[in-house]
Parts: sequence; structure tokens; C-alpha cells
Amino acid sequence: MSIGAIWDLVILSPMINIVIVLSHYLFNSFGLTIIVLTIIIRAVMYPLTLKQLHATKAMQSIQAEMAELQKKYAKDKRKLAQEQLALYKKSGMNPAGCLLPMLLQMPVWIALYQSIIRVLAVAPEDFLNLSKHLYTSWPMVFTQVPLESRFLWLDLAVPDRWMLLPILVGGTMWVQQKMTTMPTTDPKAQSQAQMMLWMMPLMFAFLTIQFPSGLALYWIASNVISIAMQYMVTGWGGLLPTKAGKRVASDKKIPGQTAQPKAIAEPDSAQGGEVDNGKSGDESQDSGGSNPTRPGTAKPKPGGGRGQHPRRR
Amino acid sequence: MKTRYTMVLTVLLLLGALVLSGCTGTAPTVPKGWSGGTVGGTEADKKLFVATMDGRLVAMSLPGGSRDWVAPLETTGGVAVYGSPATSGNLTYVGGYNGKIYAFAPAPGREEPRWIYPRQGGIGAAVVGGPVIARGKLYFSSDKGKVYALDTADGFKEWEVTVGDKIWSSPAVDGDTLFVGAFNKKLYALRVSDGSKKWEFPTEGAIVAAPVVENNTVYFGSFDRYLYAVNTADGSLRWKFKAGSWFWAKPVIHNGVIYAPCLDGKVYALDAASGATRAEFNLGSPISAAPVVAGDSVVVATEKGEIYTLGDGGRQQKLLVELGEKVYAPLAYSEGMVYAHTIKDILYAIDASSGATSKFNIK
Repeated sequence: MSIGAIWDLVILSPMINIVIVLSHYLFNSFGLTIIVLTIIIRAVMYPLTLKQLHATKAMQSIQAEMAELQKKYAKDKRKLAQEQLALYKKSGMNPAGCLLPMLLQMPVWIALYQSIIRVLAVAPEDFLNLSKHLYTSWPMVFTQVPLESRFLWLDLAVPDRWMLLPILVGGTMWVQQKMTTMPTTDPKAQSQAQMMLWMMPLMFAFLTIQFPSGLALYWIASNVISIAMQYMVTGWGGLLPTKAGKRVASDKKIPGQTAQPKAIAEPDSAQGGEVDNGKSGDESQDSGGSNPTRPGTAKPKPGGGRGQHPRRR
Repeated sequence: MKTRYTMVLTVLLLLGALVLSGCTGTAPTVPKGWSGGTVGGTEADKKLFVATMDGRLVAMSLPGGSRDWVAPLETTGGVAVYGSPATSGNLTYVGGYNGKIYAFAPAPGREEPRWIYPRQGGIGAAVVGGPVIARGKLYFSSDKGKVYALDTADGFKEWEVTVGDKIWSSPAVDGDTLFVGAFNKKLYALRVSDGSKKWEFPTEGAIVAAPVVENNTVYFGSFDRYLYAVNTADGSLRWKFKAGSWFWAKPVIHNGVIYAPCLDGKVYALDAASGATRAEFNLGSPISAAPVVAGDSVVVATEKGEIYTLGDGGRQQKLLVELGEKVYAPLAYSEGMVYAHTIKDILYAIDASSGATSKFNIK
């Protein structure tokens, strides 16, 4: 069996049939179908997403220690890598955990895209090939297609000619990115973070111009869900200006003075995030938007987040 | 470290996007077309007209297969053509996915269309079904649910009517009635004089297959997996037959038997009067190309490119040839030869008796 056949059998055909059946029960609205489908997919991926969010949060919690390590082992990259790994291990996080949910969504994007162009009868070639994906045991799917492509102001089969979707996709993705962006004192890392903050939203906005609106609708719904989940776990994060962020900014303004991380913590210290100046490493976490805690309570509680925020706003 | 992983993620996403593009081409999908051939010309000078996938109309001399004439539909850019051309007198007509109808008078050195409808721009919708000609008028449908009647001589519009949803089906004309199926699951009977509706027949699925009319009965397949036989006079149901998948291709009737190809890979041979099953031919691959009657048998092309003859009242099935290329376009027939236009834009001439095959160069 070829890879294409496996793809069709395992991913594309189920996606097509589910989309058609969902549409039947959602007032024949393909737009609603995409939104509900997004919710279902995100619900299925919830455990993974939660893991990713906790990984992000854990990443935020060790930023101060990471900065210290970078400073300490600036001239010994090998040692730096070893210490960083040790720090990750100690904090119980897996950096790859951030990637998995996104990677798993890629087949969904591709399958959804292929489903859209088939079930909406975009071109005769695609529509003709749809029949071989339909489950003969589900009679409804044969009569339901083509699905209604109109939703709000959109024709879900083609890109949004009013260009609102690219803005919404880019905007929601920027917010999501911004929430996870952590201020850093390392100028190189800072410029990289800035680049990433804009690159992803711009890239997806560009893709939205090229692809059917239905796919963009999925991205927007998915981004909104991500933002909500992110908020529940880590709060607004980098979206709001924080003390640490301001501090980084003010550090940068002092000519001839390099930015100094205020939180100093030995990675192998028993206290982990204990600091020497009365400010915890968690103030750096705070800069990432998560878990500001009192000095001496550096370790964030798993599953904490918005509920752990003192109302600083 | 975080930014490094984010960079990796971005690269992966970018790759994913590229895969997304690569899987199905750039969005939206670029239609390529699958025009069937149409036999025209005079008895002494028969020609086969076919539109190529790069948007040219070609006239092949029959039976030799030399290319007599070729003309681009547009001087710049290609045009996808899904319907077979129509011919009448010295004019040949073809409908483009760009929403235009072209009329050519093929002659050496004359490549410009005699007329184009509309004169400027397009009709604002794609033309997927092929045009048909009857009583000096050309009828065609659009994927915005409209049916048009044009004067064949000059291309001026006689009438246009909106009958509902998207239409990809070619119409069929019988007497003073035009029949056309639509995506809104209805078959419409319209008066050819002004396009007014005589009756409509509802089904449970979209209708893409072109109807065929014989003995006061219009036969058509639907996406609800039924083949219908409907009284042309009043739109009442005579019989219906359930298959395993969509009906996409126009059926043919031969010796009182209707041969209805289906995307379930079977051709259903039914008694045209009663709908009783005479035979089921399982050809193992979906059939979207309309078959043709070739002498005493019916010739069918599967999507896989296998050409079969079905004969003896629906009791014999013989594999004529395997082209090895997908066939979506309706077949054409003339003097013992069947013509199949594949999705590789190659036209094959197949001897309906022996299966001997030759390629015609239409490019």
C-alpha cells in the first residue's frame, strides 16, 4: 500500500466523511462545521496541548537560571549545553513537548485543505475524486455534497477577497506568540524572539492569502482556542508589560552597560529559584506572564497559572 | 534554547505549508479540463473536434488522424474545457471554464473565432457542461445556475434563465423541451422557446450527469446513487434504480437497454422501459467518461484507462485495450473507431473490434 493510499485511508477519508456528517447536523453550514471540527480536534489534543503549555510555563520558570548559565558559560558552549540539559531535566520539562501539538496539527491542516477543495466542488477534478472517499455505509454522505461554501461574507472555497481573514489569522497568531514570548537580557535571543514574534503571523497571513478561506477559518478558531488555553494556564504572559520586561528595556538604555539578570540562581541549588536580592527568579517568570510568586517560592505549581497571579493589573 | 526550538518549529511549519501546497497544487486548484471529442464535418470530410488541456480547439481528419486545424481559444493563457465541442454546419462551438462560449469556422489559416459570447469578459461563472445545438440555437449552462440560449449564427443571446444552483451538467434537448440537472438536486424541464420551466423533478442528490432522452422518457443519474427514468411530458417517475455510488457520466441507450456507468466501477445495463436489470458489468474502476454505441456493442472507458466493449444485450464484457492513462472525457465514435482523450492530453483511436490502438498528435 502506497503512502498516498495510507494517507487517504487513515486521515483524508475519515476527515471528509466526518466533515460531511457534521455539516448535516450543523444546519448545512460548512463554516460552523469547521469551527466545531476545530473544537473537536483541539479537545482530542487537549492532553498534548496542556503538556505543551506546561512546558512553556516551565521554560518561563527557568529563564533566569538559563540566563545565568549563558553568562557563566559564555565561553564554553559544550559545558553550557550540558548545564542547560541538566536544567531541563531538573525542571522536568521536555523542550520537544512544545513542538508536538503543532506537528500533529499539520496532517490536520493538509487533510482539511484537501477536504475543503473536494467537498465544496472547487474544481471538477477534485470533486470527481471525492466519491472514492465516501463511506458506502453512511448513505448520508453521498447526498450531502457539495457542501454550502457560503459563510458570513466568505466563500470558504477561495481566499478572502476582503483580506480580513489574513489580518485575523496574523493577529490571533501574533497574540498567541506574544503570550509565550519571554523577555530576555540576551540581545541575540531578544532579536530572535522578536523575529519569531512577527515571522509566524506574517507567514500564516501570507498563506491565508493563498489558501481557501475554510482553512483560514480553522487557523483562526484554533488560534483563539490556543489563546484561551494559554490564558488559563499561564495568564496573559508577554502580552502585558511587566516589571521584568521594563527592567530589560531600562537595562538596555544604559550606555556601555550590559543587561544583567537580577535573578541569580545556581541550577544545582537546593532552592532552585532562590535569589540574592529579594527578587525571585519568578519575577523573570512573571516577565513571561506566568506565576509571579513571592521570594522564596520559585517553583511554580503544575497546573497553576492565572489562578496564581496576584492581581497586579 | 527556546528560540532555537521555535526556529525549528517555524521551519517545520514552513515545510508543512510547502507540503500543503505541493499535495494539491497552489490554491485554488487549477482546473485542467477533460474535453471529449465530437465528430463533425461532412460525409466526405469527417473531422474530430477536441479541445486540448492547454486551451486549443483541434480538428483531426478522420480516419487518418492528421491534424487539420488548430486554434487557441485565447491568445494569452490557457482555458480549461470540460464539455465536448458541438458542431453544426461549418461552425464548431466550445465552452470554456473561463465563462465563454467560442464559435469557430475551422479553415486553413483562420484561427480567430467567428464569435465569442459574451463579447467582452465572461458570464461571471464557469462553463463545465458542453454546449448542445438544436433548432438553430445553442444551449449551455453555467456553474452559477443559469441556462442560456444563443443564436448559433452570431452568438447573440436569445434568453437566459436561472434555475437554481450550480450546474455542471450538459443539457439535453428533445423536441421543444430542454432538460438539465443541477447541484440543487433537481432535474429541470425548460421550454426551448423562452427558457420557462415546464416541470422540475427532485432527487436526493446533486445531478452532474447529462441526461439522455428516448421514447418520451428522460434518463439521468444522481448523486443519491439512483438512476431515474422520468416521463418527459409531466415529470412523473417511471422507474428508478439504485447503484453503489454517484452517477457522473451520461448513459447511453442501445437496443432498448440503457447502459449507465457509475463511479462504483460498474456499468448497469437496464431495460429502458421497465428498469429491470439485464446485467451488471464490474469493471473495477470508477467510470466518469460517457460511453458510446459502437456498432452492436457499447464501448466504455474506466478511469484507469481500460477500454471495454459490452455487447449481446448486456451479457458480454471484453477488454479491448488498456491505455494506462486515466480517462475522464466522454468517448467519441465514428466508423468503427472509438476516440478517447486521456488526462495526459493524448487522443487515442481504438478499433472497436480488434482493440488496435493508435495515438493522434493533438498538440
